[in-house]
Amino acid sequence: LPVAHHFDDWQQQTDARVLGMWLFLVTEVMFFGGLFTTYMIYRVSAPATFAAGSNHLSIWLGGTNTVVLLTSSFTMALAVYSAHHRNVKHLLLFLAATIALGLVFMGIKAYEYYEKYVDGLVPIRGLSFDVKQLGHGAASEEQQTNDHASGASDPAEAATGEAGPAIDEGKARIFYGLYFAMTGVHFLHMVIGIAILLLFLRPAARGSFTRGNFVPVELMGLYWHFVDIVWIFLFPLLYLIDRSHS
Amino acid sequence: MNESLSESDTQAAPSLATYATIYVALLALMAATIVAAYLPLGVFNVPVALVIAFTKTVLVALFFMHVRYSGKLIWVVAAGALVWLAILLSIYHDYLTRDWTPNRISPAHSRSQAPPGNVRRGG
Repeated sequence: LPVAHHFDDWQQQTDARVLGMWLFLVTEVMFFGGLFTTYMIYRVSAPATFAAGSNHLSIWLGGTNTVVLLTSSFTMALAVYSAHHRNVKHLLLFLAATIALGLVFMGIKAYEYYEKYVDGLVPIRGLSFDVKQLGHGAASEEQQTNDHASGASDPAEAATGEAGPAIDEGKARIFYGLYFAMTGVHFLHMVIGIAILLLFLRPAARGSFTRGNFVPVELMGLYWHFVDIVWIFLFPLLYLIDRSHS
Repeated sequence: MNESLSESDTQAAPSLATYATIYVALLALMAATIVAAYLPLGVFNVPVALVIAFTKTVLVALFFMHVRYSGKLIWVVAAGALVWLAILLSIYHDYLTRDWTPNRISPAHSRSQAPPGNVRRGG
């Protein structure tokens, strides 16, 4: 096993590579953290709009994708396990399974984007934005805030009582802008992850990762699990806002 | 040399049973977060969702990402990520101090105070 000349031994080199990947992931946390901070500030400024926008997302597609991604993390962990245990067949099997599940996730995500395009909810200049799709808020922004403040929510009143004012187009554009930005950047991470996994297939088949040098698979696992964690937060924050009112 | 290598090969890897348990736990927590979202918990809907997401994150990091089986340096880096993220998210508190400015974000006060433009027109 090759050890670069600036390392004392293989173990030190392995530790350094793993540490380097972790430091990269810290920068990734900060990268997504900026988006989450933006999301938080805008959500507090327009809770009813975010609820209406969120309720228009499909919980079935989003939930299915969550299961798909969690499963892909599981298969990725098993691929790392197979590399550690020097099992070429299982390594190939689980790498392929991870790629397949990643592609399923991207397919479902692409279909969701297409649905939003058909509904006219893509906030891009030049495309018409049909805010009426979102209907009226269950309550006006201030009622919503008061509800939250007192902790009281009365679905009966929401149903029979006055519907709130129509959803503001500017605020709705911000919600969908954040939706496309956050899931889009996550999508990009999936594309990169799948591309690298595809590049791993040939050396994996040759046995490059199963003669003791499991490190590339291990690092790929860290990256893949990180992308999974981002989705763990995106799913409740984008798809599950105020579902109890609907 | 080869012996020490195979030792480190397995040292960092939890057992298959552990992986399977964590996977099932993650699926259960995902079901829990959807159920919780449909319960009328008022102000507590968001904290409950975030606590579940954070729990899932800890499980993924400790077991799938092997933090539990790693040296102290990795623990420090992983915990450091959380600290830096907390500092970044705390920027939000700046916006909570802006209720008296045109950049206020809390909608509770936006209707009770007439916008400056309307006041001038009325007078």
